[in-house]
Amino acid sequence: MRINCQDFLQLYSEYADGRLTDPWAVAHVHEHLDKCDRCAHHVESLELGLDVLRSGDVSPSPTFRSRLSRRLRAEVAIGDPIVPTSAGLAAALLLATGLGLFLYQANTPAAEEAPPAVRLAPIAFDTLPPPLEEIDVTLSPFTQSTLQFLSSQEPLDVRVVLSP
Amino acid sequence: MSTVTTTTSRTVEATPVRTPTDSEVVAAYLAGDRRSFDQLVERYQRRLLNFVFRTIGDRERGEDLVQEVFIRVHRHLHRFDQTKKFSTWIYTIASNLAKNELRNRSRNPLVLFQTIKKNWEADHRPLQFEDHHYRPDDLFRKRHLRELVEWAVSQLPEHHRMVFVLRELEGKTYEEIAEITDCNLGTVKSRLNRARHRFAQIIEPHVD
Repeated sequence: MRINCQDFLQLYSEYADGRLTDPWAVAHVHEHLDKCDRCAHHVESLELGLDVLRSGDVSPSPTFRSRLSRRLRAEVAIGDPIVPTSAGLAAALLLATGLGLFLYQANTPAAEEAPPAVRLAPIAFDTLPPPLEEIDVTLSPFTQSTLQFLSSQEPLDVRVVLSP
Repeated sequence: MSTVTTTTSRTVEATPVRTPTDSEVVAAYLAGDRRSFDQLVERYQRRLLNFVFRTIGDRERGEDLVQEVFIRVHRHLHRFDQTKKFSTWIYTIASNLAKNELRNRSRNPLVLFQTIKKNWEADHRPLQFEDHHYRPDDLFRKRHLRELVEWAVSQLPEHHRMVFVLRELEGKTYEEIAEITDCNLGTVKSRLNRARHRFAQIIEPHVD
């Protein structure tokens, strides 16, 4: 049984690299290549393209080595390459930040003494306010709902003692 | 009385100078011979530049990335497992930098979508010949084969292109490519086959 063009295309790459180990497949790829002009042209185009591609190598620019040397010198100047540089840099930054903060704090004049806290004079009533139940108050719906909410909460242990 | 003069001639046999292997150069560097690093740069600068340049399609940026490769090698060489192949390690670094470069370029959501779509299609489209009459006109205007070939490489989906370049230009084995690109062997085979097929398809109409 012969192979068709699609089979050939599937097998050709490994055949070209000498990795097709099945003798039956090798024989059929070979035979197809001999008899099919279209596939032969395909392979010829591939090989020609590869030849052109391989002959077009690029070379590093004349300054490549000097630039690299500069970068490597800078790399060595930062630290011995044996020490992982990123960790070393991070540690150095942390140390520098800590030292900076320390120096800043040491050189900053001490903050002026804070003014003494104002002591509020106790409020003294000349006369006692009337008892709460005697005050006629019209509450807004909002206040009413607020009071309702507050009354539903746990009572605070606050005792106000008014003495005459 | 007679004197006998004898002349002796010494022939010095030239012993071929053996080029040290990568492993030996790396070992020498780690033992304190700082000049050995230059040997590594000398050996790999051109190869890496071609690999990165073909992968990202930008020569100037390619040089920057290759410099970065050597900086990283210099920084991490002490961590390199010397039982492994140095060339695979350095190509893996270059490959990751090239991938990052391509990823950063495709941050634009539209470009990202187009890339994903292109890659998906490239992986799933059946291998078959195309009708060349429907090729875009600009392809026929490519006058020079070299330009055409360069352009053909740039048209390959990113992950196919990397495998293609590693195999065809760098001569890496399938196993090395799998390690460098962090793919399994089957994926490498499939991507390489598709990349070759696509590359040939672009060249084909221009070859008599």
